Amino acid sequence: MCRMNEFDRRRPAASSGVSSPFGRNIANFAPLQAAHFLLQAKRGPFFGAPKKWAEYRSVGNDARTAAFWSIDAAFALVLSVAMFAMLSSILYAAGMSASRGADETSGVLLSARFSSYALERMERGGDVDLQAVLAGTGKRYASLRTAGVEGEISFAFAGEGGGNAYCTARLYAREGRMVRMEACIG
Amino acid sequence: MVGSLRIGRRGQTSLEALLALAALLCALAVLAHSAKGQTDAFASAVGEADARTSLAHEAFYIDLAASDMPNAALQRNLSGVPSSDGRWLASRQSGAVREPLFHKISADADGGYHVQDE
Repeated sequence: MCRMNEFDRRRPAASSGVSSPFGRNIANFAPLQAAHFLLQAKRGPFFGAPKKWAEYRSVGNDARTAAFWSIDAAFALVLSVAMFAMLSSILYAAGMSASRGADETSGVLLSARFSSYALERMERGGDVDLQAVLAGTGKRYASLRTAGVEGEISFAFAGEGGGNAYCTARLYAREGRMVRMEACIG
Repeated sequence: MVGSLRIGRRGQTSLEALLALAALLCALAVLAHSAKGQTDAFASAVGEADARTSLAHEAFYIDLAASDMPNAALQRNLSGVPSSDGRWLASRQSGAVREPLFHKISADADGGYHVQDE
């Protein structure tokens, strides 16, 4: 026989937990309580009047177990998952942004080099073999367009368009006239 | 009677705490594993982007110098490695990153490049 102390007199043990055919109570384990709640909602109460969800959470919870299964803990979990998802998406976006920036820098500088190469070949009096340029650079499209004040002088291309192509336009003197050359590669 | 009930409740709470702790540790392990994968992917993407940017500038300087000064020797400590045919420049940091060249170059013994006349 145990003697009731002050704590037990204030808080009778009979009110702790939820009645269940499986045992004394379902205690404070939230998943079991939720299963019991759903079962009785579907098949009717096992004993006595049906219980509301609030009764499960309010009866028999001491401060320690309430801390485990409180709405605050649920919010903390949701916030943690949301923050993790946000961090992941930020990392992914930053990686993609860095990759796009590097591709753009590479493309712009490649088109500048291509225009210099084309000018160099033209100054030597030779033609620019665009197919050879594509084979040498591993790109899929290259074009050269020259235009003067009277309009387009020449246009040549090789490969298939449709992807990203970077262009560089520059002016140069050709037979005493200023000509605009646009070199695209991508 | 009441005392035994209190001991039982305490034991039940401990079991719940253990289950909750195990679930929390599992969730943390999954999150940490996923975070590590994402951080690695991010670091790889940034490193590759950095190598590509650096290599693109280097290729630009090489082609610029080669068109102005054929047969030039570029004695800088450059980060790229020329391919065997001298038409590509590959990154030392990331082997998959490479840039095409419009001029043919070869590596010098002292870490620089030599522009080959065509």
